[in-house]
Amino acid sequence: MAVQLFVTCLVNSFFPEVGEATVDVLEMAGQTVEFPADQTCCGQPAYNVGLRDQARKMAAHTLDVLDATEGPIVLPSGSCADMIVHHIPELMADDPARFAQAERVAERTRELSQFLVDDLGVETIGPGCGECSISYHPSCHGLRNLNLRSQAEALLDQAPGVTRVDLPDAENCCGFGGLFSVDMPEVSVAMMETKLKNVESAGAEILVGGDVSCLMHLGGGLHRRKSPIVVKHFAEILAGYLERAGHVERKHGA
Amino acid sequence: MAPEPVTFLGRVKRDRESGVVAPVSEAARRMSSYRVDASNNFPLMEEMRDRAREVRLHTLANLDRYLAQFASQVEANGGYVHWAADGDEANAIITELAKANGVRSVVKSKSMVTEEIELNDALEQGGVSVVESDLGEFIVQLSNDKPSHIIAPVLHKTRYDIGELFADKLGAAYTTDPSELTEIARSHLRREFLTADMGISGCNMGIADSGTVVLVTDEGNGRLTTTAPRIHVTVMGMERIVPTFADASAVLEVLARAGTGQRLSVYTNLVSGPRRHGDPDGPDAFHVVILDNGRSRTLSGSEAEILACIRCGACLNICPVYREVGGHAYGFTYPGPIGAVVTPSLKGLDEWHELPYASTLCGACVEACPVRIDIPKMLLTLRSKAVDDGHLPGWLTFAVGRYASAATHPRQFRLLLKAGGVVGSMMAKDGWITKAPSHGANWTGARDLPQPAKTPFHARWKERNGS
Amino acid sequence: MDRKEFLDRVRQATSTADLPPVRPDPPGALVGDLSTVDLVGRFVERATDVNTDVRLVLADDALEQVVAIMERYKADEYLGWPDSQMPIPGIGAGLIARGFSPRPSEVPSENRLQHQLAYYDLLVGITGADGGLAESGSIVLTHGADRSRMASLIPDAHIALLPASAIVESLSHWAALKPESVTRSVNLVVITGPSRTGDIEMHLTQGVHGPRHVHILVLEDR
Repeated sequence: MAVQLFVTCLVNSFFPEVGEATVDVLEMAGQTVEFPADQTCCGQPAYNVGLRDQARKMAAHTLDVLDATEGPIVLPSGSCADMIVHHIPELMADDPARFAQAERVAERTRELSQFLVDDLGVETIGPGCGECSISYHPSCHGLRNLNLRSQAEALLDQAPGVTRVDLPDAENCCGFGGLFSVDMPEVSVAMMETKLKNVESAGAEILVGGDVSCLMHLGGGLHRRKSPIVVKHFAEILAGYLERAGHVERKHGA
Repeated sequence: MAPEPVTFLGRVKRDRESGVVAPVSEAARRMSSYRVDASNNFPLMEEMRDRAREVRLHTLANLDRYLAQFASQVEANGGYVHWAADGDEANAIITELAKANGVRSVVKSKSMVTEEIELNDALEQGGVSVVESDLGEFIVQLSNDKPSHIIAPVLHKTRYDIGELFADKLGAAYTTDPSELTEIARSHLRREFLTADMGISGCNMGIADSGTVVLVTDEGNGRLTTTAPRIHVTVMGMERIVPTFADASAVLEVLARAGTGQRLSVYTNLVSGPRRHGDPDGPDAFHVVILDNGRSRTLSGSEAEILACIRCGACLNICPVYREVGGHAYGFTYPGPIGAVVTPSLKGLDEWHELPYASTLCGACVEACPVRIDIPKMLLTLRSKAVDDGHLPGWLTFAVGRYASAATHPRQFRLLLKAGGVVGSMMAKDGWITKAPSHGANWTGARDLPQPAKTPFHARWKERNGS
Repeated sequence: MDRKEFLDRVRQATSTADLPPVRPDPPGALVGDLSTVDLVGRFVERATDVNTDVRLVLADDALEQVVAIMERYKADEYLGWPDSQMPIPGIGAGLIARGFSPRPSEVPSENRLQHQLAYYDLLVGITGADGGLAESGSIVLTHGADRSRMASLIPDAHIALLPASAIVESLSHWAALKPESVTRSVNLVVITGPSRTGDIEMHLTQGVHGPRHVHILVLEDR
């Protein structure tokens, strides 16, 4: 049965190469990938600021798109997967039909590393990076709400050429927090600075994560301070995208 | 003194610039690591957390019954019970008690609830002098400051600040040695304790079936406050009840471990009334003031579970926001994640709607909370209420509304991404946008923004699959 | 607000409270199985962890140990519990015979302040203990007739005599086994080490308001 890719709005718009890497990795794992064309956004931005009516509309659309498909639904994001698995059912609690639909979809939904490691039993995958040193930031929603405590790290540790160094205080939030990043920029940036100090002290050339939202925030901070450190999604590392034009040069659509 | 900034971010800016945040942050990290060590060294910790949670939730669900039992038992023990709907009522009750009993001086042990109702001001206006006896609270009082942490109130002050303060206010020889500073406070406060007419304490728990007040302290001030003065008054938030001593034990087993990493605090003091015939010492009169002050409103709704809080401070210590902003930014007695729920819940969103937004919803607090209170869930609910009350900034409401509209129309959404790519390519240089207009500057003030893709994923997928 | 009005409001609130399902009865203490643990050994280890001086002594040697501690503090008087309240007889009488004098522990209501101020500089307090908690290295004291609370609170050093047989596993075990200990007197205190604070830059300092030093003599049966 084919895997349904829910690529997330941020990957779709800002980081399509992460979507491509996700497809590549899934195919390397022997999966057939389908992309439900009408997917948009899961509704998390609206949900997190308290705009529940708006969130419900976006979530309903997402449910309709995904419920029309079959097979596992895979996302290259712990945060959006958490939204679908936990929060959309909560949002729909007062509507029995929607709630049943939300439960069906939640049941099928997996974050990428969770799907590979926990469901498929993958231990090693992809060509890796040639030679690179990385540190790994476990994003909060995946870490705490989906219990993603080692899956991506395990795949990275097995990937050819990848050397992973410990990120001090890794589980401390990076400060992105969705619209928090623009609603309370002073606090968001202060948290980012703390995280980046740790990233710099880890000394790896690449900061890897599983959520492009946090990576966009941290990568933007690193670029602003002219750091040589770049950010990558773990799918890009596994799929061997490092040599390809990606974030480093940011030549989109080239 | 400069006026208190009215916004959360205003207070954040003030405190980050004045340098008070860094030591708070460092201390919070250390306390967190002590909690982790203590938890790892206690094989029953996870089960005990579950038990403590069950105790708290069972009590809240039956709170009226246990409160009634507690009050009857206090009275049976020879104590007096007073019921206060709000802070003003509580303050009036206590001030009246002081006047009626010819009380001139009051010594207090550390109590968040009396901070909440600003009891000290009320007593002093009533002509009664009040001395805080917890070392940290004493320093707060001497410097006319506010606590920055619920269990360690002066983390924001250095030993140098305190040395100067003691030299200035107590006429002590200047020293920066913490042991010597503690010694100065000890000898100063000892006389206050031994001669005060009334002792006022808070209350970690009230045990319903025995009418007992449980007070946990490390310094011994809680014991002195409840032993030396002739009148002991406990101010208790109405949710602090547990059914039995056995239930209290489950909470005590996790309280100090979660807060400071101790197995138990130094003094766990259980007081069940005034001294009895034959007792050599202890107070002649015992009063309990039971306070609502917004709690019944909290209990009636979606934040009810926050009343299960045992005030250990673990959520402050682990919180990445608290660690960057310190305690004063939260603007009220209860800082950190717990405060972000408690304050708007007790005092209303009109004035406090910013606090539920002062979180990334990272969930570290739930993981640390010994009674597993789902703080992020409550923050989300409070945010939706803030939206209903019209408190979300207009530009955010507008932007999310437009985005939601596009996201429910796939063709529009794809056009939006395409337009984003075009606009992005006009604004970006070498793949990065360094200065975005309007509220986009909230992002680009300190971070660059990657250029949106000219060819979004959905289009690449089409190319890739040749359809 | 009167009691009825207050409680009605609380009852109203509980009826709509958004709480997870709760147990129908009070959950009570959670007691772990520590049956294989050497309770005295663990008590000594854990009390030492919190900077308590713990000594295992035979009852017959207890007086000498107390005297030695008194001499260490150069104390010639003490505030204490009378022999009738101590776990073994003869400590008070023995101290008097050795030239130490007990301070009156009765603080009369009418002259409270003078009596209490006289405690200002006390060096040593001596009490018994109703129990010990192995898991946390704590002692449990219940107060009541003739049992001074100040004795374990005001002096620089507190000496407590604890029968080894009174050591139980933990606070939870104590609460489950001895619920009546709370109501038997108006004050029960669990003491876990000397008074301490970390309020100034988290620097640990002993002896803020309570004793700077705690000495526990664990009395072995033979």
